[in-house]
Amino acid sequence: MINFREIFNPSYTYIGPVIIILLILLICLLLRDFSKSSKVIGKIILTSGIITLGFALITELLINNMISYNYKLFIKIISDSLFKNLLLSASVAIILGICLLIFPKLKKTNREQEKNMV
Amino acid sequence: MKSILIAICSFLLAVAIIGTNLYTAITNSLKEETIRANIKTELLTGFIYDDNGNKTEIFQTILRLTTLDEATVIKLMENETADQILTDAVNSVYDYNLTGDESVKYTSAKIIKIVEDNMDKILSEINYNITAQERQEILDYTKTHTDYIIETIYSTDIGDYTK
Repeated sequence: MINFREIFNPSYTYIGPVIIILLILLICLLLRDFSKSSKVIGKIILTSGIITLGFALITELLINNMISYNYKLFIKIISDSLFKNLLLSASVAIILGICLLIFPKLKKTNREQEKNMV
Repeated sequence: MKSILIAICSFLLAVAIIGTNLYTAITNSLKEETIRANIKTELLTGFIYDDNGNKTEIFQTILRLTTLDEATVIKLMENETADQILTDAVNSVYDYNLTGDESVKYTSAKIIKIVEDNMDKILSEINYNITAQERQEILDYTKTHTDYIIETIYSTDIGDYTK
């Protein structure tokens, strides 16, 4: 029988963020332009957030409404918690993605305003 | 070449973010303390309302015997001693669901003993006094409904679990 607690061990959660940081650094190095990198990374994070939101909705609609009907409360408790966690991650990713997309535009507008003042 | 590398990195980054989100969410959901806390909430709600949202027999009996309003009874069920009793029940439900060990299940005698030992303490914590007759009525109800109480507690199961 698969031991889910061993696979989803809290001590492995650092691996994901490390890979994400390394890939972000790699993209920044390849693009060599902060605004471009911010736009590209922002788009990726925003897309990931939307997909995560999709997974959260699938969890809520499929697992919670169908499987929990047969497997009763124990699974319902886990799927409810999973939905909340996914919703939180998706919200953070979407907000961060939008911020990264808007940031270069704001910077550009500020620079133009400064130029006009000079 | 550069654009291909960026495309590959972008794809990997997207996969890494989604994977991390899913992994972290599942890990947090499977945490023992999270499950215990959620079972506790479900169990408390299960003592008050049934699947159809109607008041349970236990809850209605408590209301009738104590002549207290709903809010006070809910408050009573959430006080320190009641919380301790509920925590022990949650531990029993959790252990029973994971191990299938019958010995961790509450027996009728244990439930009667819990009510006898803690009833006065819980009522004194909210400064509520009952007559000797009302006290006896509660004990009599408990003695005749232990099977129903056990069923309510252990209905929080994992469905098709087999020993």
